Amino acid sequence: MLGRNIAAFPSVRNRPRDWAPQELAEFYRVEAALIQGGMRVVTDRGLTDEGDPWFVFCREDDSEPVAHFARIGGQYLIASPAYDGVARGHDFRSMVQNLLSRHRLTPRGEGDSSNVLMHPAALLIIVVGTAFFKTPGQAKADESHKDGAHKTDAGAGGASTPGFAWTIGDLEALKNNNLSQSSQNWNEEQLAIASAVVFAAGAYEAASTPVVTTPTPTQSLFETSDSGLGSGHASFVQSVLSELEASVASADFTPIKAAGSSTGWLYADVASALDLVAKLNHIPSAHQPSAFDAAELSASSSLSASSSSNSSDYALLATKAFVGGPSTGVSASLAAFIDLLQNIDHAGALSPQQTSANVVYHEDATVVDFLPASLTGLPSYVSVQSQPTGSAGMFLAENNIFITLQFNAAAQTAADAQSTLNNSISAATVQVASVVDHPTATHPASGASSQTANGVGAQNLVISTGGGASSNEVLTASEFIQTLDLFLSETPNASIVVSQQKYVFISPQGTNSSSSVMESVTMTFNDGSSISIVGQQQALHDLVTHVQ
Amino acid sequence: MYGNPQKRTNSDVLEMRRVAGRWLRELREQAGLSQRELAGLVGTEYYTFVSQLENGRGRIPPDRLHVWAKALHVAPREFVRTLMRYYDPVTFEILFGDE
Repeated sequence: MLGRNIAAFPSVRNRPRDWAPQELAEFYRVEAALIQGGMRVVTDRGLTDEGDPWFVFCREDDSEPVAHFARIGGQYLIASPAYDGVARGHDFRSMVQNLLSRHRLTPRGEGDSSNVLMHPAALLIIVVGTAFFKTPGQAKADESHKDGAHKTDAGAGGASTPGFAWTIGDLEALKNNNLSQSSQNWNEEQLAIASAVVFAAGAYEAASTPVVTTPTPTQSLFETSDSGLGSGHASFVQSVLSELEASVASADFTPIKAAGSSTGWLYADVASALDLVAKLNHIPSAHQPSAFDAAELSASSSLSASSSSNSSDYALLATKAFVGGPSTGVSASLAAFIDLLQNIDHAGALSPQQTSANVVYHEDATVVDFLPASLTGLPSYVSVQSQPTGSAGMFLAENNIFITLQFNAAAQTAADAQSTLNNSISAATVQVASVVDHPTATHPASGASSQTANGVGAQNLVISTGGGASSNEVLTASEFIQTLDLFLSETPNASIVVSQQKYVFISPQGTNSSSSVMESVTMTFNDGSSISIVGQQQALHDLVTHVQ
Repeated sequence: MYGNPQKRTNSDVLEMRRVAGRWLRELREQAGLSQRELAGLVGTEYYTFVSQLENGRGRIPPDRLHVWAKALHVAPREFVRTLMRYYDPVTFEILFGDE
């Protein structure tokens, strides 16, 4: 089974060999931010004789590399003289985070908050920026020579900078205008990096809305950092400040950054589904080059004409973009996707107690969208019960998935929402819900239990394998999770729908084709909550059999 | 880490590195080695480093010069001397300028 070809779910192994535009955009964004931060960095890239891409950040003055990135056989690699060893992995974001963690960038001591929201690209800036200052270079040697009062720890001799380590607390403070105190003892290098990071954060948050939860950051930091970094840096600081202040003062949701600029986190305070739709319309479109595939927003555009209903509690899609596609190669596993969703939660977004929900957009993860109407044609749903107790929400929480949405208007059922809004609101949402509305047995049976087309009252996992016929294939809970994991790793642009504690992972393959036979696998919990995987019938069957 | 400022313009440094890279590529191809094979012989942790070098970015670490020369079937002295011309032209000029 392991060698089985899952044709409908393109493998990450089929990704293009050269860097994808999104990947290059990330690198060049880092380069631009570092240059803006006063660092003389140049970049270069190439392909090996086997076609594997590499990208290198070098000092401009002596062309010495400070950080080398590569993708070898689909596996990412990060190497730098500043860091011990070589980092390898399939999840680029996790690699960056792990690299930072290994270099004392994790929380330390009381008062450090783990609830830090830094765009992954900003973290990448820290990685490269730190490497820049921890590796020797001609400029640094010159600087040290010219200004003995500014001793650096990373001169031409190559010693690293002892004691310089970002903490999560620093990053949090950086975003909350409190960095001045902790930065008082920093040297100019550290402040330069801080400025670069602030710039990056500012670039991303400039596209945020007025309800962004972070105050205008670090006036005091800029004032402090300006002292040792020259007039050019002062003008840079002022420009960043102006931009950030403008973003906070802005009263509408139009991205502050012009078309083609960097995009990142977008927070929107959502009072209703229509409010959400309205805000989504301000996310840069496909005609505005950015680091994400805005085509995935198309469905939201179709809803912009929705009428004046202002309440709902229904499906939300978070699209796991680019998985297996020509992109940054972030989430390649369920664990990685969970990590991605953790970041969503870290945006301070979603908790059941909130009366309004923040919707978080991120280039890698969470394009908010609605279930495609074409899914209403799904021929059959079968249901799975394999979790004896608890709820889907509990299960996801235990796996650090927090994506519950709670709009503040009076709760409506999915059916109500459907009748209120236009027909773009997916009936499939209702259909999915109907599958799992009924709590199922409290313990999985050892054998299979065939299902009706709607799968109500399922006892065990049953996969319908063509023409509505059931092959009575049974999955354990563990196998279900493995299936979900495999599904996420093999499915580009998988989407997740959240509807009344029903979590539906959807493959885009076939959803727009009436001829495609779609099917779902659902793990149902006692309280009626559920987790479903929806995909083309044969592909789903292959996934299931793959893990069995 | 080895630091070796040459007081040359950035473009000069880059161009000399590129020339060195082309020379390394020629040697590798003459030796019938792929970049991955060469990386294995010289013990680099990632073979993309070879490609990076051949594109003029970075240098062979001094402590690896001997093993590189051996892998490329070049006498170590000649190998280092040629590389010095590109990597360390100031020193090269002092040592061999009158030759």
